Amino acid sequence: MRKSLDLGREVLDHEIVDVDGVSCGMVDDLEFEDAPGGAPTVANLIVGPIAWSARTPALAAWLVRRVVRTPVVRVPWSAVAHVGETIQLRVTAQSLGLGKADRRVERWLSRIPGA
Amino acid sequence: MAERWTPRQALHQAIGVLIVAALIAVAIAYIKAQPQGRGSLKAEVSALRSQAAEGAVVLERGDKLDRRFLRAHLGQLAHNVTRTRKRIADLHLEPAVQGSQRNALDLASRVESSIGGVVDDHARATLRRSKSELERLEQDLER
Amino acid sequence: MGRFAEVFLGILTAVGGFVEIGELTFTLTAGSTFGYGLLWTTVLGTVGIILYCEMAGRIAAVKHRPVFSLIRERTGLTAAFVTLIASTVVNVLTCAAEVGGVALVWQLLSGWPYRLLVIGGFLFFVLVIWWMKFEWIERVFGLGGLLMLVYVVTALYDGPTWSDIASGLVPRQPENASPHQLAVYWYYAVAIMSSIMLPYETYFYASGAIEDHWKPGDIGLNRVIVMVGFSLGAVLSVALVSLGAEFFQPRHVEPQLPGTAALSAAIAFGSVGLYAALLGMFFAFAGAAIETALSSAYNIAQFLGWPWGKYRRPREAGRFTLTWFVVFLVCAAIILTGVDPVRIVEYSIVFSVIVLPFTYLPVLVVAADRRIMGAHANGIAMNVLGWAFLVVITVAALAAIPLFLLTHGGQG
Repeated sequence: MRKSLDLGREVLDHEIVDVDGVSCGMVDDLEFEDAPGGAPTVANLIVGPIAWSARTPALAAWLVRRVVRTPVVRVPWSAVAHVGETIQLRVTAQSLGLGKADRRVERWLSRIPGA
Repeated sequence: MAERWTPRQALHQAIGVLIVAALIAVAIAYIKAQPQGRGSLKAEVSALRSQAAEGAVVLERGDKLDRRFLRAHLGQLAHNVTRTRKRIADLHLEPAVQGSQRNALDLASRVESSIGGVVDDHARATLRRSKSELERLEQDLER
Repeated sequence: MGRFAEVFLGILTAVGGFVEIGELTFTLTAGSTFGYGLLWTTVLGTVGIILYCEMAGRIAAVKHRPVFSLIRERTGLTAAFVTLIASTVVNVLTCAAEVGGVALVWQLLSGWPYRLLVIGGFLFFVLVIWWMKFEWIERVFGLGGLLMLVYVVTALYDGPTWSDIASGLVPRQPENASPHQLAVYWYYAVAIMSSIMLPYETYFYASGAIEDHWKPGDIGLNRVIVMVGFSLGAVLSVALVSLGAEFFQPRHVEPQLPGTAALSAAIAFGSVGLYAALLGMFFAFAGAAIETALSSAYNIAQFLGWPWGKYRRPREAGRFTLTWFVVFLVCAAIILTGVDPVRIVEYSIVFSVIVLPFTYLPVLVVAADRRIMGAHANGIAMNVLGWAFLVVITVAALAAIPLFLLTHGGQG
């Protein structure tokens, strides 16, 4: 078990990979909660354009908010199996609601021969 | 999720961007409105000279090259000459250079018709002459 | 496949894919305008691309991280986002130029109308990427591009002046040149270096390493392919400068069309030379179009965390597939407006120099970091060279636009 984890360097902006090895987003933001005993802990990983754009200049964030309608997805810390080069999850992307846009496009692409 | 930004910040940034864009637009419009010097004309004349020279090379060798390639390549070259001619015509130049501009346009038309027309001795001769005159014009504009 | 065969094919592919329409026209024109005076820039550019592709390939083999993930992790979100937009613009412009270049070459081969061929090209590219496996795409277009070696044969046939070549390898300004001529000289120096080091090559190379499932054991393979392959590719660049100097300069022609380049081979070797040149250019430009479109899709997918890769079926990487399709659509639309592909690639080359430092800094920093790369981190020599090149690239990036404006787009 690791002693410490540098959230800024090793978690934020890293790729999230689900239990099947499929990419399902980047860690666009982190959500903390107060734990008993004082120090805040990571409650959720936040995934979605509204989250990462919020860390860019306000104008960009505002534009993205106008264009993107899908809300961010919260990935509970308990779903994380391992933090390495990528953030490995214990569960599938589907079960967390990640990668919905891809599934939509893929349903449509599947109709074309050779997909 | 707590917001890291406020709509007011976005508004300020938007205003900033618009001001910068407006300044750039005004600067560009101002520069475009200024009559340009011989440098701009020379750039186009050089291109034209190169096109005429190439036309001359291709027409000299016309019989030895594949017909289909010859036709297609001359077509593409002629298209480029037309573009150059239009650019020369659209140049807004200082009075001192306008004489050269008229000269260049005349040469451009001649090159255009030689390359785009029938491949014969007349075309070859016209291209050779036009090429020499363009080289002279190019050197004049260099000074 | 045996190791040797893999290295051999990798080298050949690197050579065949070395030159695209921007580099072709710039090196020929530089040779025609300055003789061998700018030869040193082709060497400089080649060393640069060897360095950065080696590092990016090494990172991909060891860490399985492609370039844009690194950029997002390392340079901060906003900088990475801006770099993403800038690289995408550059990639799309380059892709449009290559698509236009392919249509021009097809017109020279068939005589059919240009616009029809642009649409045909669009369909061709979409079908190729949809149906062909990654390996096959690499091999077919890389090996087909080897036909461009006809230009090396033509250059040797024309008889280069070896002493001039030797002195051209030393960086020096042309003597007794007007300030205007000097500005044009340095503009071409920047442009040639930029055209050899176009960022899409590094993005594609690293993503390709992941597509080919490279592992740390492949680092040696990576090094050989990059060093030998790109060096041999540089021979082609040198040959083009030589053709510019020996064939085009005496005739006062500055090549701005693929057909013009092919003329040199046609006049030397007749139909055989002509068709070798035309087909070689087709494969080279088409390969570049495919690489730039896929690079755009790789970059966007890697930045946003989408599943990506040709090793996945289209139905397993939906938005990635859609992205490269849209890129081709946009490129075809741009070219159908009738704008000159050679002009477009010129803009993309100038703009790309500015993007270069932002692309290469994260690659350099990660490749040098012992904590991340362990035993595979840069040695001292690599670090010195890598940082030296970053300085060179940054200077070039700063000089690019002023030079472009001063020289009226490179024509003095």
